[in-house]
Amino acid sequence: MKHNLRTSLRVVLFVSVWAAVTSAASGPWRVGQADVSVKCPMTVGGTFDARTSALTGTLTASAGSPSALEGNLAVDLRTVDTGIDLRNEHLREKYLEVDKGAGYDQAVLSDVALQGLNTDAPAGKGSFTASLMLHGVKKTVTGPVEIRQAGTGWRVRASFPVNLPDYNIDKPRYLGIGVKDTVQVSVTFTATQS
Amino acid sequence: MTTTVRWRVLWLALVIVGAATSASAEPMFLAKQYTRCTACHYSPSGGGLLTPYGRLLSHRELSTTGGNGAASAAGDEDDPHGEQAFLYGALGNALGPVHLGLEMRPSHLRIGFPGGHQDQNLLMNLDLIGAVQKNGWTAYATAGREPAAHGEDVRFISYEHWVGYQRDEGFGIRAGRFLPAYGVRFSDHTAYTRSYEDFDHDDQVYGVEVSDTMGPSLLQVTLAAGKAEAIFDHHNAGQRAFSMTGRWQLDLTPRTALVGSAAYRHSTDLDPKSGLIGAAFGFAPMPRLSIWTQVDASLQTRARGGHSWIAVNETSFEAYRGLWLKFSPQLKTSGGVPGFSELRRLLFEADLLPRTHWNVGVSYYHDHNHTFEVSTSTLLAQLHLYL
Repeated sequence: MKHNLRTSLRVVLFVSVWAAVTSAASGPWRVGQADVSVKCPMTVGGTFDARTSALTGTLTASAGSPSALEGNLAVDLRTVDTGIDLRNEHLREKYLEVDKGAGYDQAVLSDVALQGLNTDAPAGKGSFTASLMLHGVKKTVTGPVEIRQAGTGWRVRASFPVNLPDYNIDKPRYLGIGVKDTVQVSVTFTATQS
Repeated sequence: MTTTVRWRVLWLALVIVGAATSASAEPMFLAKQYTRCTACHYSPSGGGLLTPYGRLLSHRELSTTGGNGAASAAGDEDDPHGEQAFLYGALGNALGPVHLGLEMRPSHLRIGFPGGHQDQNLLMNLDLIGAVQKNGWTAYATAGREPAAHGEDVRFISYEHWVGYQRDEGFGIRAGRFLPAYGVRFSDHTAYTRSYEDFDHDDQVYGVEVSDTMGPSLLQVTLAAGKAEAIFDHHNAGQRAFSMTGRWQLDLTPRTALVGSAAYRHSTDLDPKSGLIGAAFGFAPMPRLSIWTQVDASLQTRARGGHSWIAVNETSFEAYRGLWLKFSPQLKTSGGVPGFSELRRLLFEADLLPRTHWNVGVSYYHDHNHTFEVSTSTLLAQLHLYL
């Protein structure tokens, strides 16, 4: 009797976990807690981080392709903080030009496609390609991605380089020092099913 | 305590604290994501004249009252003005590409020792510093007065004069008189890792430094013909000797850095050959706090005290905008050789940076000679004018 009860509990537990995993994998993912960090190498050596937690959006497994995700992720560029007020001011107004026009105040990642991972059971390490809309320019980005289960959702960690001239962003230079052309973006967020 | 011992203690304390300092690098700004000296200073080994960016940062981001100060427009290459310029910009553009700084430190020193104390007012340093930077080239020089040593007159000195070239890709070279890069250049030149390792305020060398930045790491190697004061002064000719210093820094994150260093000095008429090897680690767990620790093995011959350890920790906390509090325990072991002392220090310091051009520093040193059980207490108040 005791043995049967233990077996039944195991089956129920397995079915529950499997159901949670598969349903989370197939439904739309909504971004929860996030940390976006842009590592900016300086021309004089050293780096600084520009960070924000203002990442929003949803991604949904594409019906047509098991590795593609529909939807997009958007970063509010007005919230990016470098730890220095004047640097924030220059970043937002001179280089990202967040007030220039519609869409300039956001960086939007869309057309996400996973490689080495399957949207039905995405846990693991792989890579991705996506389109990044930044400063009025849309370009393809690519980089590594790692997805782990976190409770009933997922924890996603991805990174990719961004070459600033590709997006028509002026070379950041100020009083003899500046940021090199290529910055490294790291994104970590939790995603839960809507 | 006998009068002789008392005077020895006093002399030791004066030697420890009372010499001139140059404008100092501030490793505490790791808390602001600045891992490299060259973000704010012309010199690759830190200290000395601030670049226009360094002056701007000093005004806008570090000083208590400068948060809303005017700044050059984004994209400007070189436009120091107002409080961020030499003499408050009184010379306008008359200097062209030359940047100047005038540094002086009127100070008051109070040294307490068993049985008494000694007070002294002194002008720690008075130096005019100039730099020109163009197309990767930098020419840099200081001119000033060297405080009077015991029984000697004040004399003219140029602590640093060098020419350097820095490529955008990372390779750099400089030649002339400068302080070689080693470990962490703590702003206090009496820190054990500076004063006991020959990286004090007047320990510059004549030599060549080659550096390379490779991603997050920086390598600096200095080859020198000897201490600068021994090169042109025939009285010190016996102290000329080849020396080599290497420093490697790895920025693990924008707020975490690891530094490895080594130095070799050939024998002179006065000193046998010696070496240093050590490591330093700095991290800033929060935006207002930085913690640096450097530990070095000093490899001396037995006649000079044998192998000893020198360790310095400096913890800095910005309690209020422009008000930094520092705590620094320091240790130098005796090396186990009779006659050589184990030294311990506790340093408490408050640095107030109200404006770009003047800072106030109050330091309290408690130095203890553990071998001879003698302690001194030193209070140093400085007005740092940086015009």
